[in-house]
Amino acid sequence: MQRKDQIVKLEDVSKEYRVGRIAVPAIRGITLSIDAGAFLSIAGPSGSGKTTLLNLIGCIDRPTAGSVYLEGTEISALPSSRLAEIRSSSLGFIFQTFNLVPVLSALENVEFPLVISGTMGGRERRRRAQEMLEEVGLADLMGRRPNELSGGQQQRIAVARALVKQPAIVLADEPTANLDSGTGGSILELMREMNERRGTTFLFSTHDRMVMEYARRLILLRDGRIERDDGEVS
Amino acid sequence: MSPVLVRLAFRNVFRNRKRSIITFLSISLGLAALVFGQGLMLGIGNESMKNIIDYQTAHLTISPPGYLDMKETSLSPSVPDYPEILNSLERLPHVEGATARIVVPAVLNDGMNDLPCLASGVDVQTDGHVFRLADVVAEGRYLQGQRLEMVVGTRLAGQFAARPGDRLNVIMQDRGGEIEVQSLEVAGLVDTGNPTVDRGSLFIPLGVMQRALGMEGQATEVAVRLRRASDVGAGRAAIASFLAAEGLDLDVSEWTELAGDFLRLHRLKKRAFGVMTGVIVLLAAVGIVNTMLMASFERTREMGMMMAMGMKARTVLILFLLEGAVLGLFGGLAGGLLGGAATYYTEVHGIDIGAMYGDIDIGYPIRDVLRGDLTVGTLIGTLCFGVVVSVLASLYPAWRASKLVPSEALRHV
Repeated sequence: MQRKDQIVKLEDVSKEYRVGRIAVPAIRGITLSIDAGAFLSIAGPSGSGKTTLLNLIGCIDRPTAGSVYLEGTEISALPSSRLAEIRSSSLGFIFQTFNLVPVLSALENVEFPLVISGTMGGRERRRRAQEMLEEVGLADLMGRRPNELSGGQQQRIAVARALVKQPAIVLADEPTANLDSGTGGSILELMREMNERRGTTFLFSTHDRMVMEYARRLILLRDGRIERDDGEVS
Repeated sequence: MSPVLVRLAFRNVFRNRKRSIITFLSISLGLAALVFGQGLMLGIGNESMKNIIDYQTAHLTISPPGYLDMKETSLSPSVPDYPEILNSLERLPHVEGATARIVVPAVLNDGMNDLPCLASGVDVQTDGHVFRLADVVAEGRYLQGQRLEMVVGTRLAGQFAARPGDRLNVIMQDRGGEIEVQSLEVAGLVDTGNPTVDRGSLFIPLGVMQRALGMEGQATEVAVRLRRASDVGAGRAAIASFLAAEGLDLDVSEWTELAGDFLRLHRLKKRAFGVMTGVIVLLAAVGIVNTMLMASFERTREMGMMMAMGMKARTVLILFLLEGAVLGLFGGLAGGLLGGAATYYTEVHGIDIGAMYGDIDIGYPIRDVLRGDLTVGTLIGTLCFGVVVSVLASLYPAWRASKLVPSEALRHV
């Protein structure tokens, strides 16, 4: 069973990828629980399973074995359409390469997750997106397209996009990897500020020491297993 | 469907401008060819039908039973008391005019050479109410009164190098089976553009014909012109009920029955044209498949991101189909404009086939100038066709994009 304040729980979760006839293990029997409001970093070298773990928690991938609980719901066996609904309603994503839609303006990019969820009308959507852009300090750039923005500005837009539908969890896959240290730091500050102000749970993968230092809880992965779990640090 | 999705589809189409322009060009040129070809076929068809009605068949023909099977033989039965029928027909609804004719096979002879042809005895007073021969006299003049003269199709006269003022012999068989030879002066030459008439017909005053064949007071058919071509069904019904009420055992035939061969050939040509343009549009559709597949490959990661954010496979499918529809819409608009402009040009200025091909028969009864016919229906139809073809061509790329697995798509480089 999952405790009420546990937002994520993994029980003996494994994930294998098949490369031809060979099964390559990415995650090996991980058991883990994460409390709501966490600001958690999953660190480890390349190939340690960071992205796979985030994908499993983010309902983007299914485990080969074990169970994944999200807000009390076992998600491993849910159909794809239900997983898409959960992703749309409860999860926000930030990617290493920002992944903004190049033909949409900053405002439209932030609005897009609300379009996908289809839960509100155009005017309300727009208002929420504008507010979100104000929160990340880019209200005056809302009409610009991604190629007219710096990397840091693009990632701020991505943070606003991840938060606009007020998800329970934001999953960030190496969010600062494509940014210089100063800009990366300001993005982490922004994420931490959002975590504290809104209580949104943030899980991010990294192999950047600076990012690890920002985290209140650090999980170190190696070869698909948890090598170290620092627990919650206040 | 969210307007944002539509906006996104529009912008995605213009993402790769060069590629989109090439695809637009292929769609629009294909559809322009379709509009132009259709307009031309429609124009040629309409013009040909008008020609056949004006110079050959009229809208309706009243004739004795079995006349159509026996026409062009000298044993054709005749319409009795035709003057009374003519008088009554003028009062019937839809009828604009009616005239009596005797149509029999004949041989034209200049003393040396013979050529078979069709001789029509025409009522000079009333023939113009139905047929338009008097308007297409190329040389000389049209028939006047009951003189011993004739007008001849230009090509038929050309075979004898006959000019107005020359005399030719018309050999026919009378009702008794005797051979009748009439030496008639060529009053004029008619150039209808209709090969059946120009190459094989001559026209003699009805009275002259009646006397020559011993058919005084008789005609082999009564030709009827209606106010509108679209009234053929109603006009035929009105005439048939009038004939039945009068107790006259006569058939009423529509021009489509008399010009059946032409209509069948025209349908066949339209079908062949359809296949040809189908191939052109198919080639354009292959271009669309290619463009959309490239787009789906290039945007794999973006699709992965959208799916990670919760976009459902169905929405991805709709997005790509919308992009296909936008391509088709713009291609259809450009193609419609281009093809429409070309068709409109031919509608206004025509294509002078006389100057292009000289005396070569192009297989359509048309006088000198081909004219296209541009209709709103053709334009709207082409636009819809363009959109439908583009959406169909986008089905596979859209399906492929919708089947992406988000985790794999996000790893795509």
